[in-house]
Amino acid sequence: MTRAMNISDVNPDWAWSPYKPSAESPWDIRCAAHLFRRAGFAANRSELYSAVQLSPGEVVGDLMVASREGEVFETQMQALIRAALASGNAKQLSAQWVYRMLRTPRPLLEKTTLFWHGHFATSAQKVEVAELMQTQNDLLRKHALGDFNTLLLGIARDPAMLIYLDSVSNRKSHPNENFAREIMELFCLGEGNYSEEDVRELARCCTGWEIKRKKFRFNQYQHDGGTKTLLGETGNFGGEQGVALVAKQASAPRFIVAKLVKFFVMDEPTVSERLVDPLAKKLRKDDMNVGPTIQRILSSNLFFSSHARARKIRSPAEFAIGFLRSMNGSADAYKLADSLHELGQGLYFPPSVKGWDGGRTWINSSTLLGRSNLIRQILDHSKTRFAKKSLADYLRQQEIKDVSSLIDWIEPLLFAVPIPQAAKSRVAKLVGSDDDRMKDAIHILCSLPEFQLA
Amino acid sequence: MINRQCVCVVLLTATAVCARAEAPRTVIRSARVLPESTVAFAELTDVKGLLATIFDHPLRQKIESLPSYQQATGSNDYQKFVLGRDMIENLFGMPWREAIETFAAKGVSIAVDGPTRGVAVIVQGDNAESMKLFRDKLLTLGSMAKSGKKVQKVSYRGVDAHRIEDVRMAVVADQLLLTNHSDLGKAILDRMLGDELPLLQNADRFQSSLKTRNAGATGWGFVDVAMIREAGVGQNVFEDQINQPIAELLFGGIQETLQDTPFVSASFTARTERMFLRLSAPHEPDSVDEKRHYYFGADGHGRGLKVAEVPEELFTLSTHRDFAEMWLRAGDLFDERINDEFAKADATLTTLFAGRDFGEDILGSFNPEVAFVSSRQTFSGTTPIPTIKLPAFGVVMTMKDSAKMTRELRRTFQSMIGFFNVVGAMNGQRQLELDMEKIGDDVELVSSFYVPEQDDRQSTAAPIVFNFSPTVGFAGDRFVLASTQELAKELSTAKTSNPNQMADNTAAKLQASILQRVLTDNREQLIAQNMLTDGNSREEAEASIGLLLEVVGYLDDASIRMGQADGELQLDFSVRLDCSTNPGESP
Repeated sequence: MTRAMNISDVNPDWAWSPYKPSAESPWDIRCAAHLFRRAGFAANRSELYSAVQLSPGEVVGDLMVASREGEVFETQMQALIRAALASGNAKQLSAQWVYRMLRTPRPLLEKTTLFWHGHFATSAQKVEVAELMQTQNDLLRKHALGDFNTLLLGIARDPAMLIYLDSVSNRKSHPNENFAREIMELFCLGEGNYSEEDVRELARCCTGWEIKRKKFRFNQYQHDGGTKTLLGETGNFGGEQGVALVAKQASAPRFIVAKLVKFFVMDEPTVSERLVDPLAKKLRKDDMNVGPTIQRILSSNLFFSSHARARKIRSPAEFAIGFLRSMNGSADAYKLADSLHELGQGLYFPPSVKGWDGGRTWINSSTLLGRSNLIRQILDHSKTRFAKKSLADYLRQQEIKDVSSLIDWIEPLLFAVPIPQAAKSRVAKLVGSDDDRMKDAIHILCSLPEFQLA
Repeated sequence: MINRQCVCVVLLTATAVCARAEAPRTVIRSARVLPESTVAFAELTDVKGLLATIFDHPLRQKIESLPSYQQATGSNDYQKFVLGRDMIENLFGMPWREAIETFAAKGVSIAVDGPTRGVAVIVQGDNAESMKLFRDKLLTLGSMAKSGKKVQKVSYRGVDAHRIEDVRMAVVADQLLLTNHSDLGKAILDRMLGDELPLLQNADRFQSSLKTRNAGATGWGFVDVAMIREAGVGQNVFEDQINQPIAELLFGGIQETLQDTPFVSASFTARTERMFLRLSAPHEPDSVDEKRHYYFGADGHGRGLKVAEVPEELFTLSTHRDFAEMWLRAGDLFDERINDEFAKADATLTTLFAGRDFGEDILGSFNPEVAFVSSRQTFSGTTPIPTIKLPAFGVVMTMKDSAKMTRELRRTFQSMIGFFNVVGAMNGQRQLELDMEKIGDDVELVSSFYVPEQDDRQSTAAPIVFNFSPTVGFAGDRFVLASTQELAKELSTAKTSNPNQMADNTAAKLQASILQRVLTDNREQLIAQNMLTDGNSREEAEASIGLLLEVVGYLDDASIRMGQADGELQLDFSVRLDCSTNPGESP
């Protein structure tokens, strides 16, 4: 299947069938790098070489499961979270998440948590209470690869979300339609799949839901106990039943699958309903359990085809974290978190309830310059280490002796498309000490438009 | 005749007595070859002793046995350092330490010349041959470091002088001269060769400074402040205004002294159990400008407040600062911008203090002696316990009119707590509860406590606010304001010293063993910060913080003192090391 074929002509059965390596489409380190870039935050050379020893399906299977290493890591992360919460500083939480992304042994879980953070966008800018932001983040992570219905209900009653949506009280005299609309439009169904009457009725279902002392509370005296007609069903529904009715709609799995495909497979073009339908049916069949659907996406022919390769623009987190993870890097998480914020992806600080638009909106003249500066900052910062070594020592260990061997080494590791010959020639002409030349070369290469593609 | 003989005997005796009374003149050999225009001079007389103090220190073995030290020595950077060191040792044909001890057997001096702004280093060895050998090795090393750059050789008045890039070197007898300026090099060589030229040794200010030179000191230094001032260098150091209130409070008096003092001398002593540095400068209390009377006192001899030691005492700072005078003299001490800020603060504080002038009525009601105290909180037997455990801190002052001010300050404190509660309630913050306690006949405490919510009551990971229970204490004329009730009680009930002033203007002391406990209390926080800022793994961060705690445990205390003696303003820095078997035993 080549890119020459229009995406609208792609056969859905072929698209979501498991990818089987062939001479035309081999399972090599470029292919594995594509998988790790999308299913996580990229992988280093040794992880890529280990991956190609397995089948693509086995690698995706491994990405789905929790390991013993993950449990130890989670214990360490809980200590970091406690420290961040003790300071009450949301920026420390942001740094903690950057650290988690850099070191997690479960990159798919983290990537999917980031997806849900953009989907159920809530900003610490307004919520202000770090503890509530982290409680929501824990909820997202807990259900990231699990039951969407449970996650949706959790989010609907989540104090941070309700504060963010100005819904700390929902009284029967003034049902909060804003909150009900966001559940249907942004979280579950999408525009055109509900009526204004449905919004009003869902708002009535959720009356009596309040946040008091940073906790969810049901105030029975403020609940509208009357009969509601919501999305074609009539009854004396409470909030939980109302939210479950929304998630039961046929458009719900289609809406979620379309967003998952956009996030994991391609920014553009928007995939057709014909392509979405098989996955939506699967999601419904799995009782809205998103893990198997994500596994199907990441194992599919479409995912490994030219329709998906280099068809996404790296988000700031993918850009910076991916660069470091590819090279076994570690860095000052505070600085990185600040830089992500400046580039438009402040963790715990999404710009609006719609989350990040992603795709081409990540790139403009200012962010392009900012991305280039960020790579330089990472390379020059005294705290940055690559496999606990300086860049020069790390590259020496990788047996990279000159700029030309650096280009050969870095291209399959970091780039989704080949580096243009002109750029290679420009980099080859760099002068200076070995260390500076290598830094300059990496800086130039990672400032190329090609590096912005995932 | 008898009379004439008697006169002669008396004169001879008097001459002899006078001759005996005159102190023997201290002669520094390197100062006898340096020009009179030297603005800064420092010498290490006992290099061997200093190396022995550092490298034969009882703590060295303990530090080297630390896992984090072992880890550091396994790093690539350290291996590179070892490689370089081995190369130098091969070149010199002896271990580096032995090389330094041999070639600098009689000391090392460094000097900065005013007119040329050149720097000279004079190394004094045992004999001319060893110094020539030293020079040759240095030239080889320099040439290697500069990628085989050629050494230029010239002769100056029969002395071989060598140059590699900007560094010139020459050997005269047992002295090796290194300098970065040829004119300075020639000036020193002329003196080394015996020319009768003006010498640093004979300069008046240098001579005066020599009295601060202690024969037992490890190192000694001199800066000709008058010459620097006259040359117009570093004008901002000698300016009248600092223009930062906190810096003014800390360094205003030192700045004042630097404007007049002819020189500053420094004496450094390194011993196994103590490192000590004294900076001294001639200082005349009578000549202190009026605007800095708040710092030194009107008579120039203001002293700090003596306070009793409290349990788990971490830090104390006792000083003489007349805050009221400083507040009222702000117009003389700061520029317009700072004064605008003072005016705004004055208006706000005057409102807070029910219309009483903050500078005159409130600050003016206290004596200028003040002490700041900080202590570790133990939280023994109490909950909630915060995750981040901050030390308690408090300020102790004495009131001029305690009968009047006790009521004023008690009422103001209660009003402020009420104000915080109103503002806090609007922002959803925790509320403070007031309490009053009488201890005996003299001591009265007005305390406030954060009220824990149901979930917080038994918490051992409570929010940071549970470090605080702001309290004021009154004990006779003593006034205490502390961040916790416990510290306020300790400071209020402590026995009054008589006299209640200490000997110096300022004295501060940090107890390392308590600091180690404070850091240990917050170990998890430190590990988390290390992981986030350094990108370390949990294990690496634990090792790094473990090393920090161990190193702090090897300190006993660190202190600073500022006082006056023998017409000098003295600033002492002291660090004492704990060389016991189990330094800084962790709680």
